[in-house]
Amino acid sequence: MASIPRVVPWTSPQEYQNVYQWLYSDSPELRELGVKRVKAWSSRGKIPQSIVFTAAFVEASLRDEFAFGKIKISNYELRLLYSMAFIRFVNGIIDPNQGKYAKSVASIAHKLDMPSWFVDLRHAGTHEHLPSLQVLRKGCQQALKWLEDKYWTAQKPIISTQIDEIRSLIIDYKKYSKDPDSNKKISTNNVLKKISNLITAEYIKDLLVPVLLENGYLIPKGKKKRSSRSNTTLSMKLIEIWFPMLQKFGYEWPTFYDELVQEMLEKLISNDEGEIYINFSDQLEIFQTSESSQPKNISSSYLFTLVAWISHFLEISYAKKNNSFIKLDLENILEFCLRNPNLYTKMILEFMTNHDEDLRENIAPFMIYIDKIDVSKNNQSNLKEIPIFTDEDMEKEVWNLRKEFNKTFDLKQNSKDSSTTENSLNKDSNLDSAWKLYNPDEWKKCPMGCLPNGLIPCLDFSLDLDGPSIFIPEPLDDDVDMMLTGE
Amino acid sequence: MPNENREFFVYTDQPEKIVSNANQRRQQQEIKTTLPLPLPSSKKKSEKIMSYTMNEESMDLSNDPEESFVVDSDVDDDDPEESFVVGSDVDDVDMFTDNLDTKTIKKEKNILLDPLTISRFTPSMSNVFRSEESEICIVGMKWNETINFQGYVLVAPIYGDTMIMGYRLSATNSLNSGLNSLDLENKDLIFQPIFSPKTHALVSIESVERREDEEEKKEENSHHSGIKSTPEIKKIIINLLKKLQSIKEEKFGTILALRGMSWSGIKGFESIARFTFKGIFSVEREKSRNIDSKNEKEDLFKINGFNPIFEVTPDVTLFNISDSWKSVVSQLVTNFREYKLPPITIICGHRNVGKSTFSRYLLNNLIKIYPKIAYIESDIGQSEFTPAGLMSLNILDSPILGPPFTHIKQPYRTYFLGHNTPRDDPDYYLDCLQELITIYHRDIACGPEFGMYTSDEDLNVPLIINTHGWVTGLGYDIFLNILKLAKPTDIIQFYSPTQIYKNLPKLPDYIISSPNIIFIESIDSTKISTKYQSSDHRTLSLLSYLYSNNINNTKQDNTKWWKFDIPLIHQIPWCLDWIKGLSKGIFLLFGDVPLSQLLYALNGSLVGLIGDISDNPDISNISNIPQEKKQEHMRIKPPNYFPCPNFSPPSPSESHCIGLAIIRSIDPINHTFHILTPLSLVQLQRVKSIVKGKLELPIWFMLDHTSNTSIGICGVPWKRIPYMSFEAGIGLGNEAQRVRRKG
Repeated sequence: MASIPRVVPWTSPQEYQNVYQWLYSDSPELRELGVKRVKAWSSRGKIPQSIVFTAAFVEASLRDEFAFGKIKISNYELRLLYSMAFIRFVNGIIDPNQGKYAKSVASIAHKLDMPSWFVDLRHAGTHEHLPSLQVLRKGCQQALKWLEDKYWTAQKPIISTQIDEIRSLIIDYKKYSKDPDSNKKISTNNVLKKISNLITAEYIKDLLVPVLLENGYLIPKGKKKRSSRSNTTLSMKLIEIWFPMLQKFGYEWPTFYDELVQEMLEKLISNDEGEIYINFSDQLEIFQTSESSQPKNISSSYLFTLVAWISHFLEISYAKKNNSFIKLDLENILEFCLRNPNLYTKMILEFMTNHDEDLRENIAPFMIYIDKIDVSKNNQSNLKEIPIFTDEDMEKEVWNLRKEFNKTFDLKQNSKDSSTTENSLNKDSNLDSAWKLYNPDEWKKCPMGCLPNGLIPCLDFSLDLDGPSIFIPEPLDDDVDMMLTGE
Repeated sequence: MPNENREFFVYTDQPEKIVSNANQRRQQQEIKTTLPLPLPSSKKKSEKIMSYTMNEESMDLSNDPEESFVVDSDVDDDDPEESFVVGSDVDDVDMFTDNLDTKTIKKEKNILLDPLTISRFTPSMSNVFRSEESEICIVGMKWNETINFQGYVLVAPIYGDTMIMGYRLSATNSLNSGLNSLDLENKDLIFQPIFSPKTHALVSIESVERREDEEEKKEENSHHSGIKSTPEIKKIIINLLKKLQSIKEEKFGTILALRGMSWSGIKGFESIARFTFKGIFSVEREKSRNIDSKNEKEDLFKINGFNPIFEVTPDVTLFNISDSWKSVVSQLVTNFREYKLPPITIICGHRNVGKSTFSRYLLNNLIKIYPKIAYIESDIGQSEFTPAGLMSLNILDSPILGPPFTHIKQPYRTYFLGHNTPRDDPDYYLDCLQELITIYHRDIACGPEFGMYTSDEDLNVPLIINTHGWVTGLGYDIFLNILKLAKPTDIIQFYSPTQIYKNLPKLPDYIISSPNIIFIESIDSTKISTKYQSSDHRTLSLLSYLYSNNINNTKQDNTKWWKFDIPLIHQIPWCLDWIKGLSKGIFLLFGDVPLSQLLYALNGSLVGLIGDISDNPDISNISNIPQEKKQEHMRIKPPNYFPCPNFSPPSPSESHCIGLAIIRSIDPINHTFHILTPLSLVQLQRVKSIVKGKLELPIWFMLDHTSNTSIGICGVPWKRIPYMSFEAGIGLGNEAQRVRRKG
């Protein structure tokens, strides 16, 4: 792990995007929901200030908009609300940009491209006559726009434009390395330098790897150039073209191979979700050259080629052990394959066990298990279907085995002495207590905030619980409910 | 090095000459004060680092202009606000900066060399005897010799007296009986654990002359809890002792047995937050010039985790007790003798002056005179016996030989304030404090709890109250209120002749009329290493608490005291059914979270578990939960919810905090919280409500320090892990709030 992540209050980038959409929605209900969620985020601790400022403006403007609703609010109250939101907003943006020597607020504002009348408003609100409601309303609107430009939309700046740029650079690279006449080294090196200047380590996964895994790069378009079930080696041509580039990337970013392999592994099991069907006939040319989202069904030759690449990396990594220029997180690959057994991950497991005697011994029972289910499934269906085992299947099996084991173990224990300690105590007290230990057999370690299945459940309670909304005369209609649950 | 002249102690070639001597030390201090302070430069540095680090907490109410020059660096005591004065929360720095270069540079500039840390003891074959097969040594020391060390070790007195952090460790053998007639067979040999990490000033073990005064009789029969040695260990020690006795020419004043304690799992502190806490117990060796000689000296002990200091080592200082502190303590003890009622001592002063250090020193002194001592921690940003955010009353019967995080305990009574400062709800803070003082008077000082009906002086339980160092603005107001509530017999007030801005204003007349006021010299804060911030100390205390193997029991020999080998995220959590278990619902102390969003605030956060004071674990309330008709068509049943200040927080006279917990995940369908806590099931069954304050869970509690996490945690890729992000975040106002202070 190269660095320590930072703490953020949202559960996922998706939740973050939702809140952005809500705060800037046309629907007051959604805006109110956005404000509410930001309050929950604030309660967690660290939260980017611009989010808080946005929510403050939205909350103030909601008050204003529905000032003549159920609860009357005076103009003066509104002016106080808006003014404070403004003062905190301007100060909050300016302050972090103060250097060692005090500079005027106006000069910093100018540098940050903030309209100077924002600064005036702040000044008036603090030291002079409270600004008028008309001016404050206008200011609120513009401040929200400003925050959207400078903060919210700045969050996803690169993906679409840069990914195109990277793709065209990689195409250049491919061209140069195929061309026997050109001065290969210099031109390819130039291209690679451009790519590494374009992105930093944290964007490998989002920008670089997706392009590499599109059809026509690491995985050739033509089916003949790909690997197959019977031949899981890479063609020499493929290695000649791409390997120098991968080496360069690996040298540039230490986590590159890990991230590449991780994405490859995820692809290997991506067919498993939803309809479990692997298209052996390979008649669909599924990958378009555009970056549009990839269809679920990925052709098997594509996947076999991925397996071949991973095996290739593993081979190099095994061959030179610690000195290898490819340093892979083997444990992670192993864990991933064991957690997601299918035809492809099994091939990788086999490859790993062929290179690692100890490992072979250690995971032999799993391999047998995977084989067994493989066979039994195949017998059941004559289709050329690859059986897929979900975590649940595996766990069920493990659980059954463990249950049997516990039974025999208990029998043994009981024969020894009948008064065993804590376990029995715990079980007794568990029956009616509000407190129970999570069933150790079912518990799986998982990140903080996730359930043992690695997912975060929906954490919403009904909005009705918050009492009548401050501004809405009639109850929430169904449309809104649907939008909310669609999160 | 351009900054060389800024070092206070420059390594010289003759460390022996500098070796401690009161006069010389004073001289050095004088020199120090005339040197230009290096602080502005470090301030600048911090600001740079801060470009990423923000914290809502950093809104500091105190507006003392000088404060911006205080680098918050207290080794042992400070106040939450203060840590933000310069503002670099090291935690955050690590989290937010991808390269650690800035930090490294900062570290180099602040290297602190303190020659006083060198031990006045030369180990040799004739004064250190170790057993080959186990980590046990016996050491013969002459009077005034000291062994200063970094790390952790168990110490038992065999002969003579030793001073450790103000505690006089005495062998039960009479002095007259001489060395050769030592009889260990029939006596208990009690080991005391001593912790000396470099997050704080290092501990010194000093051989001292036995005091033949009246206290001694009491010492004889006051057996402070510690770790009793097993017959096997005693046998090893007796054998070692024979070797020592065979050496005739040495005249030892003190003989100690030392024993390793790696089995306690304490080393785990270092592995958890690699950047911050690595090496707090172990000495960095590579820079040492005299590698050979040094290793020889250490090898004589060969105890894991016990690193005696024999040469100037960067970034460590010594727990050095000035003479003025000693005289303050003896004056206090004299005062105490005259009181009819149990004495109440309040320790007060600005932050970073040594309040906590002195409290510990005082406690270790008094514990030899009083069998039990009560201690109220009102500095909720950095508590002595609990993680931050709690206010507690503790009853102590043994010395505290280490910094707070090494002796996190279950207090006699605890209240959850959910914040590092009383700033946001001073009234609740004072209510809780008042209740603790009432409890002290009712249960402890003169109550039945400890059999103290008698007026016998011996059975008094004195009370020590440590206060927060926030003594400007509202903080000073709160402080005066504490004085009013506590009605102390003695006030220990820190003062500094050089850093005048750190002195408290003259206390109002209505306060100073009754108690004795004793002034005491402040620790020179410029001497303190700036490497560890108060947020680091908070993290350590919380780590110590949440990873504690058994928070309730006294610490046992050869068992794990901390279970750092299993990361929290691997641990099997408790499931709390909030319909069945939380009869009094959920309180939110600060903020404005609507019920519909409550779980978003609670998931993965640190909370207090609250129970009733008249606690009979009951299940009766379950049926009383108001069931609204509405809930029938709601899929998920919400808990009762009481956001403050619309509702008042749990009353300190009716409920108390049982402990802290992490809501590690939530299963709303089954109305279940998954909870991580070191408490036992019996304690958990008393829980009636959960309170969330402003305490944040540092990133270290969410990571897996035991396995390679290049791709993700527990098989979940980074992208899908909640509450953390590798993306730096961009755009204006991306940082969390911080406070700009005027220079």
